[in-house]
Amino acid sequence: MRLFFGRDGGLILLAALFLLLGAGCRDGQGVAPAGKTSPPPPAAKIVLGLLPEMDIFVQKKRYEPIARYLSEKTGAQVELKILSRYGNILENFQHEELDGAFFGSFTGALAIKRLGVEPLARPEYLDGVSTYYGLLFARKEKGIKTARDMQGKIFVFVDKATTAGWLLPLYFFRAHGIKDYRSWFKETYFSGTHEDAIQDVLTGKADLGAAKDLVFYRLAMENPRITEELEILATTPKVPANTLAVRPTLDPALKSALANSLLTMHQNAAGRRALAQFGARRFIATAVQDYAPVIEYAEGIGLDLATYDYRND
Amino acid sequence: MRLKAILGFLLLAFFFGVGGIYIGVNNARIIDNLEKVLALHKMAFFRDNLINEVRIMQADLYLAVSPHRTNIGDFVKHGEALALAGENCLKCHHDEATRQRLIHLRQAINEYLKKSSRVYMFSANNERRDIEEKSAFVSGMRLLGEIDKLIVLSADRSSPQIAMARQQVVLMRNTLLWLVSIAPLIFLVFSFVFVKRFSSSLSVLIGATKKIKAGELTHTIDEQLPDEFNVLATAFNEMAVSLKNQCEAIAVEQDRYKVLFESADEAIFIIEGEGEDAGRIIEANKAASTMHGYTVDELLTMRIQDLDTAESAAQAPARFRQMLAGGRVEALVEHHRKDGTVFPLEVRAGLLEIKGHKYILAFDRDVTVRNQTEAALQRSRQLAMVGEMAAGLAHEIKNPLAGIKVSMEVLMNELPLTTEDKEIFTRTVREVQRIEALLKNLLNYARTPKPVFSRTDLNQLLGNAMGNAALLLKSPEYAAASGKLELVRSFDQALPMIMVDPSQMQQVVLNLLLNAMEATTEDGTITVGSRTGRAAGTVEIIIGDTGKGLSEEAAARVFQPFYTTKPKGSGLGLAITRRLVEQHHGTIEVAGVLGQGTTFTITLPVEQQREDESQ
Repeated sequence: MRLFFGRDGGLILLAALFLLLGAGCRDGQGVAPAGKTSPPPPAAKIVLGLLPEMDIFVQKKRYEPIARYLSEKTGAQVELKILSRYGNILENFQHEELDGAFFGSFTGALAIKRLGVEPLARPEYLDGVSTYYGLLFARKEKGIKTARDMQGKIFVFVDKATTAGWLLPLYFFRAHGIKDYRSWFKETYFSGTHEDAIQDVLTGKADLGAAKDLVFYRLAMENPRITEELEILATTPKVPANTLAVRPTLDPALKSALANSLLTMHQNAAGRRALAQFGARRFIATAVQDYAPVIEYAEGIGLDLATYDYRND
Repeated sequence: MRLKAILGFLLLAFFFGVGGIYIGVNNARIIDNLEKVLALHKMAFFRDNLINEVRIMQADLYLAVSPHRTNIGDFVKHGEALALAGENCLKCHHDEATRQRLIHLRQAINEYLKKSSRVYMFSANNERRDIEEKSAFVSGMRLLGEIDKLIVLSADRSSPQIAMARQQVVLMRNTLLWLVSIAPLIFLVFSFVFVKRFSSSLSVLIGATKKIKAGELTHTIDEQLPDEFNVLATAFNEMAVSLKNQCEAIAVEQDRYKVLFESADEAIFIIEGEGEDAGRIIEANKAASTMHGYTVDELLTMRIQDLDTAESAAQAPARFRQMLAGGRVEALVEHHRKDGTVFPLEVRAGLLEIKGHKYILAFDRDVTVRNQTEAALQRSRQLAMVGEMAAGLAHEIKNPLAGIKVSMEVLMNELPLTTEDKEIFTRTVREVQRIEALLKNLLNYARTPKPVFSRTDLNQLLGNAMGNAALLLKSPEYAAASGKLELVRSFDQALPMIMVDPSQMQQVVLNLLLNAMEATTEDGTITVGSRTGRAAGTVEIIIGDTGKGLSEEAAARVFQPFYTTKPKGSGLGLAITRRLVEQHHGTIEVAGVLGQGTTFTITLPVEQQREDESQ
């Protein structure tokens, strides 16, 4: 006891108390009080629309690496918004207050014509392709080759606002004398996604379908039955792959940042990782004139993009 | 004991270590079990969450074809949540069979999501859309069924696991509580035993020490103490014995020195030498007390300066300084007693240093007697010298004086002298005779013969002297000068025979009787008595008269040579009487009251020293 409470022990205890006090006093004292600074401004938010190219859950998951990369690079908070269908992207562009969207070729042409959006960049896929084309396909076993063979069958479209899933069949129909497809086919419907159109023909829910080649062959890599059991009957000219186009009133700095980020993605490791997850090699610049084939194709069918009604019916 | 203590502490440390390890291990087990329970509950939560997500999706599907259709963004979020819930289930640890089932479940979820996506994407064909919706819904129900099966399966396993984990937790908790409760008790008991053993031995030792401190040097430790305490106790007992022996030796030394201190004839003072108390009497012996008339206790309250006379006190500071400087002092000073009388002292003092503190050690001797003796001796020498001179003179004068007397007698007888001339010659012869008598006395005083001692009956000697005195009283000379005198005797018949020179003692008694007769001029009594002396081995002779007595001054000087109260006395009678008494190694004292009488008391030893007897 004398050790703890003797003269020396008392000194030790006193020193320990002083140290504790000092430590306690130092807490918060040694640190200079933070000056009064205003909270950082909230990061800018960019809402980009996604078309239901395939299973909407998979579609969103597919574009998330791109969105994260763009968020990091631009400093803005990039949010993806999946759209319920191709057709109402124009309405949604305004209604949902989108800043941009990855437009399909037809929706892109529509948006350029009606909303004045500015295309920035589109992906160049692993095989070096940055375009796609539409496919008209049927099960091989059905033996459907001609328009006559199609009569009384079930046709699945994707959406009236798609090149591959609508324009192509229409073109085919006009070219092969099918004036009213509703009466020509037993049943027609819009699957909403290219993937579903392909899957419906594969599973026999529909006899014929139309979809984009990129989705067709992507699904075929997972399911070889697609190429084995389905037969391509017709194709469209190549049109730009889904391009990121932004509203004309977007902050030029942000617009520039988005464009630069996409176009230089392949030059850094984070960008390359995001591209690999997305399934592309790089993004390439895209201009309005790249949509000329779509416009010509549509006009060839007799569609006026300015007044075109893209509601599925 | 050290070994026992070390073993004990090692044992305690071992038990505590083991206990601590056990507690730690148990804690870890409890944590593991709790984590297991938590994981199981988490699994149950994930399962429930999965079911909920499926139900949400089912609700979305159900509403997909209604006006309350969930918007596409929320529908996608619900689908993502369902996919995530499925992944969460898969992330938990499962056995392989369950894991495979969960993988299958994930596939089912993906298919369900695809179907759900189709329902939301489908348009322009309500019939087909309804079919897709029903297909998706059924798929959802199947998914729920699959999940329920998994729940049942896992519940069968997880419930017992949870119960077992809970049981183990409770068991470990109780074990810990028991340990935490018992361990301190064990520690307390152990400590109590150890401390008691330790403290009881210490108490015995402390008690023994206290007894030694209180002075019980004979106290020993009889109890058998354990271990090293017994060695300590033995050493303690030896120390006590040694201490006792040393104390006794010191006490003996102390007593010896005390005896020396107290029995010394000289007054011994130990005086404070330094500070404000300088001069204070620290110690004084019995002789100092007797010498000064104060008790020792009274002396110890005084300073040495309080005993000095003013003259001696004035010289004290110088003496003090000299002593404190290391010198010794031998001085003659005067002190006063308690009754105020002043007496001379010879002081020998010096510095005494004890444990660095300075004291004065002083030896004081009362030199009153010595001074008196020296004065008396000086006087005696002077008187002896005068006596010798007087004796020589008397001897020289005696012969011519005898010749003068003879010549005057011859002339008186042969010459035809007138009556007046014859008167003159007669007076001259008488004066010469007086001078002869004076010379004879002078010679007697100066050359008192040595006594020849013989065993004598004192009462007989006194009776003879009284008879002679009675004859003298009848003589015409004394009959005319004095009144009726009665001689009374008061003799102690049991008086022993004493050793005296009978003729000298006869002379002494006769002289005193003659003085008594001359002093008693009117009717009176002269008493002669004898008795045993106050001091052992002595006898007293008392001769008293009822005459004119003596004054104090006369009583003090009556034995001095040439001192007389008689008109024609030589002043040598009592001086010779005292000389003769002193030659008998006795004393003579006088007591007189003026106008009432005088008493002389002679004290003689019964026996004389051998050299006297041989003479």
